[in-house]
Amino acid sequence: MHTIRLATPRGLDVLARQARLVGSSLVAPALLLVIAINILPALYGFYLSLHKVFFFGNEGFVGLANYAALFRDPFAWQAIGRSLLFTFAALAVAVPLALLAAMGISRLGSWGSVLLTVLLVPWAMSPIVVALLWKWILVPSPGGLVGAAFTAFGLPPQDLLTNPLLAMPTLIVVAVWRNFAFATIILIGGLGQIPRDLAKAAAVDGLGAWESFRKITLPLLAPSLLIVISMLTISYFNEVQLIIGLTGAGRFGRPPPWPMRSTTPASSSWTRGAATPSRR
Amino acid sequence: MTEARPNTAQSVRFRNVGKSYGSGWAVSGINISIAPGQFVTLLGPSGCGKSTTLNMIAGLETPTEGQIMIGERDVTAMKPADRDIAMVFQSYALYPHMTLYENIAFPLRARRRRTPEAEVDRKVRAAVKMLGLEALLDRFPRQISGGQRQRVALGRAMVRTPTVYLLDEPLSNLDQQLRVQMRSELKDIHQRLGATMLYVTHDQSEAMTLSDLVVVMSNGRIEQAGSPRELYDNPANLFVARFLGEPGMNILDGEAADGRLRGPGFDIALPALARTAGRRISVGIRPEDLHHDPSAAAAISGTVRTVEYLGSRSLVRVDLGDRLIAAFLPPSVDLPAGAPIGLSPADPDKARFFETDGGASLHAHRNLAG
Amino acid sequence: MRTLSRIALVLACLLAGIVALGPILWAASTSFKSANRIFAVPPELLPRSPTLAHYANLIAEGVHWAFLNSFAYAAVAVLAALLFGATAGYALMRYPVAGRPAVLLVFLATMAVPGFAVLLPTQMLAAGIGLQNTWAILPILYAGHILPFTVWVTRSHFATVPRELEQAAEIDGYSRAEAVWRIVLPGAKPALLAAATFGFLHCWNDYVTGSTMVDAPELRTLQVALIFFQGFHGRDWGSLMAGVIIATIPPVVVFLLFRKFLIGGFADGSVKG
Repeated sequence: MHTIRLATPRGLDVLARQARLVGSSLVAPALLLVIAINILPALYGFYLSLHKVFFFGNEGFVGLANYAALFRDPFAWQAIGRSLLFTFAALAVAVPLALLAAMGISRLGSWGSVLLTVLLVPWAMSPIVVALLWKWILVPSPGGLVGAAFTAFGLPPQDLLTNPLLAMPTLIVVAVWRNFAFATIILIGGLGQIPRDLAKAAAVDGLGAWESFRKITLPLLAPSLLIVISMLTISYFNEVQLIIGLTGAGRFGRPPPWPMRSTTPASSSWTRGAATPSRR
Repeated sequence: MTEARPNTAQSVRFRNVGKSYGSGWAVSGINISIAPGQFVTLLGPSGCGKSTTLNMIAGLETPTEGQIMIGERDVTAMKPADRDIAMVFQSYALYPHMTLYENIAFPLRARRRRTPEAEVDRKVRAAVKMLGLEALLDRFPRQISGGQRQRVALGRAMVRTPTVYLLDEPLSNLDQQLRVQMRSELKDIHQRLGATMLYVTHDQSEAMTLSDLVVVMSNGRIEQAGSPRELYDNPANLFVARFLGEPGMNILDGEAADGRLRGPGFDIALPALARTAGRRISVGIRPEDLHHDPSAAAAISGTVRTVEYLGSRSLVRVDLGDRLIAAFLPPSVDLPAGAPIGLSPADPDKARFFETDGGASLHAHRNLAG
Repeated sequence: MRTLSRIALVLACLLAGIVALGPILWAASTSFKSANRIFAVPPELLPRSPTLAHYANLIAEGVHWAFLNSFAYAAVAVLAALLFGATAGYALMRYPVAGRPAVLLVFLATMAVPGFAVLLPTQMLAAGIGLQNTWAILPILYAGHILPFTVWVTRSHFATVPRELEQAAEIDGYSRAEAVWRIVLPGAKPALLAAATFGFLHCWNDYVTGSTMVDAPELRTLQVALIFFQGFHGRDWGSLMAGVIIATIPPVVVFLLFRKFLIGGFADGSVKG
């Protein structure tokens, strides 16, 4: 056995270090941009939240006083509650709907992809534009689409968006209309990964359609469902733009009317401090 | 095929090459010397380090220690592109967005080679003709069969008369029949090109049929290097003895005393070279070297467990109490399961003896590795 | 029985299609109606005497400039995100990278944080370095918003490209960079298009970032311009719906052109990645 080490480990180390340097510098631009734009402001926001800020003036460190003020504010609690209600109600509508659509579409073959495309068109639209569009549909006049429906039933046209009972369901319908199909894509992908033989095996084993769905499809779809639920939760909890548009907050900076402040946590951003509570 | 091919075949030398991934050595102490034009196979079970070794010649991995020479050039830290080698991958690695023609022409069109298009065309057509792919040049890889893809991968290697061909399990994705056919084609191509080829496989029949030199590896080390015949007839250790052959050599561990080796179900005379070796000795006998011996003097006696009828012969598994051994017997030997059976070595000189501890052979060996 | 359930399925699909597209078609119809027919009772489904007056009205208000702004912001942001995102995605898959787990975590975590959650500190920081209300701020912010997703999508794509393809190209005599350019990138087209489509939709469809970061009318995005227009002409539904249609055409066209890649990217990328 030779004991010579012909290639010096140091020489080969240089190669490894070079590769590391190349790798890191290829990642650097993206990383720095993401840190500067997504993380730095969050940290700055947290810093501001510990200070008393009046417009752009920093009037000193106040510790957790802003948070204390926020948690004492009944409106804040109400807003959080409404946000959660909106989010979970929208989820409860969107997920079953998306599942139904996914199962229908994956059974339809080539027409299914046409239908999926059609369903996805609203998702491609801007939330604020969707809001404008639905405002027109919901306009409380016999000439509006919904107004005409009320008139057809002999009722005076209602303004659903200011009706304390119906505003929330209306927002939910519009939000679900806009993006439930996005969840459908992921569920179709998940359904596609379930081996077809399993359905055959289940049929041979004597399971009915519903039983087969419940005992085979649903458990195997769980990972996709989890992804869908988490994506939709984030999406609905942050459904700011749609709600600004629908509830007529109008131009940014004008104080929002009731549904806005009461449905999303971002309502606190109207007073200074987006994710950062402000002292009032 | 009349085109005169410049013979660019080079030698390859490994000097004490090792590769560590931090947590341990994937391979170490690799010394191999390959003459120009040789067909060398790295053979071993998966994870034995044979692919790592091949990748280090290709430059896809850099050794942690040691030196690799191609011809007179030290390529240890050289980029793959600078080594002038060709490689055929297990997955073929055909470029999916290029036609077969473009795939085969790709190496020639590399900037460093500056091949004029007329010459590219001539070389591609020559390679394609040799492989019988003329009709498929405009197809894309996804439009052709596995065997055809295999040929395209070979064609891409052949167009450029490299110094060394590296083949990483090139036949393992083919079905059995095609594999045997491509095996002969590969052998034919090797002989016609006179190229140095380094072949990695876990399939011993490929290694045995194709190679001038077989390097058996396990656990990142070379177990033995030699011609297929040497490896088969005179394995250097128990690993090689068990690994080669289908089924492998029968190994019987026994106690040496009074010039005989005894253990459960057997009693065999020890040759002179094994008499001084200590008490714990194993004997290895290939299944085809055993014959049916109904006499009371049979060296091995046990009971028949199963008989697999193979037409020209039968594979009989014999239970010795603590282990099963295999024997190829004439189909006329027809014993039911459970019947007692006696076996003796057909040619006592073919029995191999090993140290039970460590597994080293007691017979003399040539070391071809390095 | 079989035909019956078939009919039910077709009806359900038609209904779904009407629900999805109906509101948009209604807006389109409104945008072509003359002002005095918009509130007709009962509503007219199709404009009886179609007019382009509302579109002309929007052009007179200069909406085409806002349209071009939105387009330019989105294009710059998407190109930057593709350039930086694909290189990062590639490096994270194929190179050793210092602090790799932490880097991956940064991209993953920022994907879940919507840009507007940190809008106010962002605005203050942008104002602090003099970028607020400039043409540069929105492309930069948009690129930052869509980068994590771009990195993630391209990275999961590169994970599926056999490494051997690049190795083969290197052995065939090409440099690493050439191998990436000639072998890896052509194969990455679907992933790049998926990321680009998603990125474009995000940028084009943004409202809150655009409305906080720029004030000057000549820098406004289309979405912001529409909301301003609504502020001044709140009840001019014909022109507003014309704006809705104008703002909807680009994202829908982009979506329709590249839907295969987008749907494919989400269907495998998200579940596996």
